[in-house]
Amino acid sequence: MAKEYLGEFEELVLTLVAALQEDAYGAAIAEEIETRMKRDVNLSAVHVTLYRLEDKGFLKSSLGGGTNERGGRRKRIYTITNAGLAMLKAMKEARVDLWKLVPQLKIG
Amino acid sequence: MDRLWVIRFLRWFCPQHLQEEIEGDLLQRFERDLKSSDHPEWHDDYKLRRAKRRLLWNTIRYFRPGILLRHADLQSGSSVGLYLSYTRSTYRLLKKQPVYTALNLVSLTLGICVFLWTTLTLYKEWSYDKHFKDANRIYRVTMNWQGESDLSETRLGWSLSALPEQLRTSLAGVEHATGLVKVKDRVLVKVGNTSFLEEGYYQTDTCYFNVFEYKWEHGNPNKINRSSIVLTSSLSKKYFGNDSPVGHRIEIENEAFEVMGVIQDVPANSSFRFKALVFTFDASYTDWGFTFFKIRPDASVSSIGQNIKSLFQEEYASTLKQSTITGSYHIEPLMDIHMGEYKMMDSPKANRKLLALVTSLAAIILFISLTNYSNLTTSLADDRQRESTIRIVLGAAPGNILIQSIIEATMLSISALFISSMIIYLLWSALDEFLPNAYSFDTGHILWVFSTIIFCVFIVACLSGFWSYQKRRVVSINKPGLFQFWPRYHWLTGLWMTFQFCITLTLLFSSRIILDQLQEVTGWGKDSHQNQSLVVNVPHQEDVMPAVENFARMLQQQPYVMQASLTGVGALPSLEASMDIFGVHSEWGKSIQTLQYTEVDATYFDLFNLNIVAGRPFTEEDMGSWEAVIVSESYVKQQGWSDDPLQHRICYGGICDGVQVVGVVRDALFWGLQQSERPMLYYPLQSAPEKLVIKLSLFDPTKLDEIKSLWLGAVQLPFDCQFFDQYVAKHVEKERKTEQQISLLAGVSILLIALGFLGVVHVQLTKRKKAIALRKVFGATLIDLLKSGWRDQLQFLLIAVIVSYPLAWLVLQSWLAQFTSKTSVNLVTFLQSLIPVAVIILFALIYHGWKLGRMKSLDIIRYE
Repeated sequence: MAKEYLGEFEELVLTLVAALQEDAYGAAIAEEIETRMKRDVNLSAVHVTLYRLEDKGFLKSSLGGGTNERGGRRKRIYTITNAGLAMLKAMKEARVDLWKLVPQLKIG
Repeated sequence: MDRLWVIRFLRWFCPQHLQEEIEGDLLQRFERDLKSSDHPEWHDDYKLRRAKRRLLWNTIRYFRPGILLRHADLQSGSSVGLYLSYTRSTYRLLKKQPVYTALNLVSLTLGICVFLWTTLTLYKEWSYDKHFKDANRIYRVTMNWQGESDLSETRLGWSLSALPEQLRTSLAGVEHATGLVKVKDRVLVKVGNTSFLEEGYYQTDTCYFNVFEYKWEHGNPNKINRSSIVLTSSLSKKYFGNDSPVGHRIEIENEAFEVMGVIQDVPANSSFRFKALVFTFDASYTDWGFTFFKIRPDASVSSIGQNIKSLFQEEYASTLKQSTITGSYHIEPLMDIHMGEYKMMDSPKANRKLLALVTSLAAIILFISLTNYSNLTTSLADDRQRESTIRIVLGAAPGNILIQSIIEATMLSISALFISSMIIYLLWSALDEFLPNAYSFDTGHILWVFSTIIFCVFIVACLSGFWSYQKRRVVSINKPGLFQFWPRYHWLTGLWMTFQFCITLTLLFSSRIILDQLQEVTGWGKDSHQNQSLVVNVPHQEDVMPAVENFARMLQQQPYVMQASLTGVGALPSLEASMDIFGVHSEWGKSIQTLQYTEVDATYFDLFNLNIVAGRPFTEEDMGSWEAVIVSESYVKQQGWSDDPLQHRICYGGICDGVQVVGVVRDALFWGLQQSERPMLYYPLQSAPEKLVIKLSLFDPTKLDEIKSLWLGAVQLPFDCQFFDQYVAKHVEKERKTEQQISLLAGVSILLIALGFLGVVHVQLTKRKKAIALRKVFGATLIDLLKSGWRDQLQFLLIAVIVSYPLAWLVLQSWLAQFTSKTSVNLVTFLQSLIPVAVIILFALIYHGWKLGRMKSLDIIRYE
């Protein structure tokens, strides 16, 4: 079976789901990306990515509570699966390994 | 409110299981945008507008494959797989029942073929004159007038020949104007040392090519002058081969013209199909002609129409008023001419009534083929019930059964459409007179026709499928009617069959009456003149008259010549016979009327089998002066003369006291369906004759050569003749074509109903074979089986006869009311339309009996 890879945006969303924990749903993730990364992001892109990650088995979801702000509609709360965490970890390690190959700046 | 329709839009495309979270996130973002404190300087109204805009934009961006493909039934390609599986199982099912499939396919193909052919014919007629550049800016001027006592207005396709020049000079909105008229029916053309008698020579003016654009093969339209002639490509090839004819001289009726150019052949869907144009049209050469003009792009049509009417009032109204006649000019768009109302001296027209009739018949035929399909499908519904209920029990959704029947109909209709398109493509190019380059199809129209057919089949498939689906919802496996001795048809099958009988009987009965009426109104000259009456064109040259008279005398001495008659003005009956203004003296005093007339000699009525119903025919003493007149029967009817018609007098020109009516003659029926009969006046031959009609005792081609050599010896001009029945046939060509079309349509409908019948018999035989086998074993005879089997079908037929005949009779009576001469509707007409259906029933009965006879009962029930 071919190894699964994550795109840059997928990795970003997956990381934020892991970070936000019980508060990880579409609008919150989009807002976090905008605030923290200073990057314009579209809600539909976040949702489509979340569904794709769920299809790949990196996320699981359940319906949470609704709020007045949301017109009573419930949130879909995403949680990272072990496979998702393993994938994030593997990606981070791969990057660290690659980063080590880059000549470091020497100060002084 | 704004948010509501945005949400509705989202719900329309978004999978249901994702809607709640997406809606919530969108609304949360909307609220955040509304309360945004990033820009405190923004006004609340602006914030609201911005938030709404962003909500809309965010929602629209959900319309993407990542969301749309998450619909449950589209996921993982299972739906595509399901449809493929349906298609495969439908293909297997159709293959398993070859008779059912073949009957449906042939029936649908026939129906679609007829519909496609008729649509193409209709489209061909609508395409007339639309190929000209700026056709929507070109108009024709026509003229109407009415005498004081005329019952209706006379409409003329022509206008006065001075009009084109007046339009060019006095109306600013007119860009170009031109006149056009036929030089003569046939002209004597001399090219080098060879003489030809040609048709299709028209005269126009030098502005013609400013109004109408043609493709030029040789020459230049700017060099045309009064002594020029322009030929069409085929005529140029006939005279000069493949060489350029520009600069050559051609003599037309002894006047020389120089060939100035060659244009491509006039397209077949053109109202004026000329072969050559000369540019001598003006008021000094001819009094009347067609007037066409092209308006400027910014000009108002209505104001130009008004100006043209005023032009008529100023120039001619006062002159006409002296004769108590009123009239006016009218304008008619070029593109409406062909489908418009027939006028005197008009170009050949489409017959709208006949087109409507043929189109309706074609639609009925398509409908019959669809009912055949539906009939067979519903007949099979019982048979397939076992299979379907098993599928439903095993978990198939009930709607899936409906989808399968639609797939079956789609497969059959697409196959039928493909086969029909191929057949029509081959037939169209093989049979139609249209040149390929003159007629191109519009893709939009083709798509429209195809989608109409698919739509019709789809609707019928849905209805039949829905019926089958309703039936298959019964979650019990029915017994296949083992002890039901003969299939009682289901009410829907019975309804379809009765309906189909009704339509077919109505169609056959109507076709019979329409064909009879067509014969009635076009029958003149068909039987008694078959290859016997020869019409010779007399040249329009005064110096040849003695020679023609000499030739006529020589003919009288030939043993194979029965009679020879010379006729003058409007020599042969025609839709374009001469008309003039007559004063009619009656008991109510004198009245002014516009009437059609002709000049004939003493033998004319006898030669054409036109019986004198009152008074006497002309004698030799009447010839040479207008001192007697014979009127047609329809004229007497139109005038409402209840007393003796021979008491009346009709005056013309300077003869103020009028001429005595000496006889009443039977109408010459050749008008076709295009217009009602026109009253006719016959005067003794006074002016130069136009035709010499020779009646032969028997047809012998060698005698034709003898007559030709006699003519060439006596007159020394080309011998131009045709048989009278051919002349009439040409006159009513459209009616004859319609006759053929109606006969063909009636034939197809008979074939369709035969197919339907065979299909139902076949399905019922297959379905009930065990019951029949049991009955045979228990001693039922063939007659018993047939009797019980056909009782229902004959009942359906009886209901159809009771419903359809009175209805069709009522409709046809109102249609026939418009004709003076009507065909009689009697028992024979009824029987003629019933006979084909009776033959089909007999045929199906024989087939049924044959199948029953061959059935091996013991083999069938051995394992029950």
